[in-house]
Amino acid sequence: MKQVRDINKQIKKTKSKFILFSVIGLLIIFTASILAFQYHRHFINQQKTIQVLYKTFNDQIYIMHEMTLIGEKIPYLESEEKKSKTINQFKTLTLALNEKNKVLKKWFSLRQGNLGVNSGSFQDKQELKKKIESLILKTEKLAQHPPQTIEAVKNEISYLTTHLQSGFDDIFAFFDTHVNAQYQSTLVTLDKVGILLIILCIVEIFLVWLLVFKPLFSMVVNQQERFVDTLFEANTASRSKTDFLANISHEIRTPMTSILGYVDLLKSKPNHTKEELHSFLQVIDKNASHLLSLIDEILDVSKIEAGKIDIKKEAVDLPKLLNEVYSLINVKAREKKIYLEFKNEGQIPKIVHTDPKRIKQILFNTVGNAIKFTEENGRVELVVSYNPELKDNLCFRVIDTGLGIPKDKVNKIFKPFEQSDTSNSRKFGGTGLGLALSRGIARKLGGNITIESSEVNKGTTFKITLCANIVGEYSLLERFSTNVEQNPDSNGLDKDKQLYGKKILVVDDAFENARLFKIFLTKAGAETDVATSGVEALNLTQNNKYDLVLLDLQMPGLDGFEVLRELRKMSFDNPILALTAHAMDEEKQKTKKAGFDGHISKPVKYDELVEHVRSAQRRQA
Amino acid sequence: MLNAKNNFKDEKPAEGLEDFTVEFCNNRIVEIDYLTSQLQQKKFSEIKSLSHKWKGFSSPYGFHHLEKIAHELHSKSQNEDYESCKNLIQEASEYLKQKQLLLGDQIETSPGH
Repeated sequence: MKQVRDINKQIKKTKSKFILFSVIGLLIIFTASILAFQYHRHFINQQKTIQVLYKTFNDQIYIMHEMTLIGEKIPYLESEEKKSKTINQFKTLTLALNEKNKVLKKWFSLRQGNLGVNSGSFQDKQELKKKIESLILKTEKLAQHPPQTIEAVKNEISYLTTHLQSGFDDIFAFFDTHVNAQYQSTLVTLDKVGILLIILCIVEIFLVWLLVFKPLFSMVVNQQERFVDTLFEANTASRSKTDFLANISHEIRTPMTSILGYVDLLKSKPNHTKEELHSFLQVIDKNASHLLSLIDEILDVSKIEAGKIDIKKEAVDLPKLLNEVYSLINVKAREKKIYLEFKNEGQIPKIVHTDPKRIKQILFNTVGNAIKFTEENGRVELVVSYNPELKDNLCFRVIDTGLGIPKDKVNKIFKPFEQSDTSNSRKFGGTGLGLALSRGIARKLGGNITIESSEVNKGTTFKITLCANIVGEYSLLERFSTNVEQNPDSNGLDKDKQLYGKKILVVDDAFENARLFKIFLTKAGAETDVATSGVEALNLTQNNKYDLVLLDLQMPGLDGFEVLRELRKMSFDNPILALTAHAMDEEKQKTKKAGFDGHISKPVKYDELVEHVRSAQRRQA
Repeated sequence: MLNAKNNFKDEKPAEGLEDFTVEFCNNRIVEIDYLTSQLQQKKFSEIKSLSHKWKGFSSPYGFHHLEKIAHELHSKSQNEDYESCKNLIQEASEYLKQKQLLLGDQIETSPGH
């Protein structure tokens, strides 16, 4: 909508510009045309006048010529009749000459003595003026008092030809020279004016094109292209939604089919064994949970698209949250023999202000994806870092050695309803919503999700940033890690190697207990030594570097408490856990007060033992 | 008195300890003789100490019932209850014999404690 409003504004602006330019242009051309027209008219009038003058002068010269002819005939006139006729002819000619001079006089008086010629010197013009005035005067006088005798005619003719003829010649010559020059000059000027008018028109047309039509055209073309792109996107989105519906339908049908199938099995056969029942219910439960997650995802994506996702921030123990996510997601990793580790890069805060549920959602999606698209024996790491100087200060990098994402699919995978590969033969399943959802949530939390790098068949690194400020006292962790290297054990022991690389000392006088702990700890990947007395324990500690000591409390000779004190005196700072069959709180308080780093109540199960040891290690970290 | 005539077939040791159950059973049978002699000498502290150990390691080796007996024996020996201790030691002995049969192995007769 904003785009449409912008375009309307532009069109109105262009329209105003067009009108303005048109008006200005027309005014200029109109003014120039009027001026040119006026000038032209003036020129024409001037030419007309000059034509009249020329004609007048020509007529006068003709009359003068006639008069000269009469003069030439006079000596040969014999009869009085002929002489009288000649006198009358002369009178007629003088009257005609006077009439012509009246035109000249009128022109002269109209111009108030101005010759109307731009060129020529002032002196020349003054002399010419005198000549014209003299000519006019003389012919007036002659007309008023025409000669009555043939002698008088002869004298007048003689005078006229002597004095006026040259005057006429001069006047004619003057006008001939200067009027012609003026004429040429005026023509040139008219030409220039004409050319100027044409140039003005061209410039105006150019300006209108440049400032009005060209931008308008570009805008229309751009808009057209945008409409086409939008239409294409809409069609693509429509196709994607169709694909999505097909995917979703498949994703829903598959678990529903399982559920219904197993329900039928339960109904069909009344007596199932306990194991069968348990197995069936597990499958139903798993598929129902999957369906529920799918529905939640779809709803969340819809909320994000509508801008209505709910965020509830609180103080969150970041290491604890990461451990929880790790514990759950490591199950999937272990199934595929994938090494999974969460660790930090630089200091990270202990408590941050954020939405724990949404962070878990993001991590489950992104790390889950990494595991999904990494083959067996691959590697997935989550690296946490914190930069308080940035707005999106909390950063998670999910690094895998998986399939990678082709460059042309990188932008596609963040769009809802789209996956890198939407063909029916895709082997990984999924709805194509996880990343879109995660990105929407990350943005709501003040950050983003991007692909930092990806190479086909080498792996991908996703970068997740969030805004999560430190809560309370400024407390940072130097080191956080959830796992150690998994080493596929060739002697057939359990693949769970959560304590791999750790060296642990078990101190218990009951060798069966010690053996029990040794077997459990070795199974978990630790290198284990056994001491059956306090003294033996101290000797072993002096000669070996242990990461942790499990210490029985009740032993003959040095008991557990005494061994603890001696170990601390030896600067043994690593965790020491108490082993005892006493499980009461008082006993736990006692061991805590004595300085033990933990309390393990016997009998202990394998998982509990491993968890106790790992917790102690993490606390120390 | 705890019932020693249960079916203990379902008692399984923790993974990795299967190979040590026979040895464990043998060692406990030897300790039964020791407990009997300590009881006769009314050395309840020894009985308490040994039953305390039994509490700590019986279950992982798959001797869950022995753990229960050990809890009771520990408590009774603390109270210096002769008769109860005697009965419990007897019960433990019968239980271990059943386990021995279940484990399908001959135990060497103990040379005495």
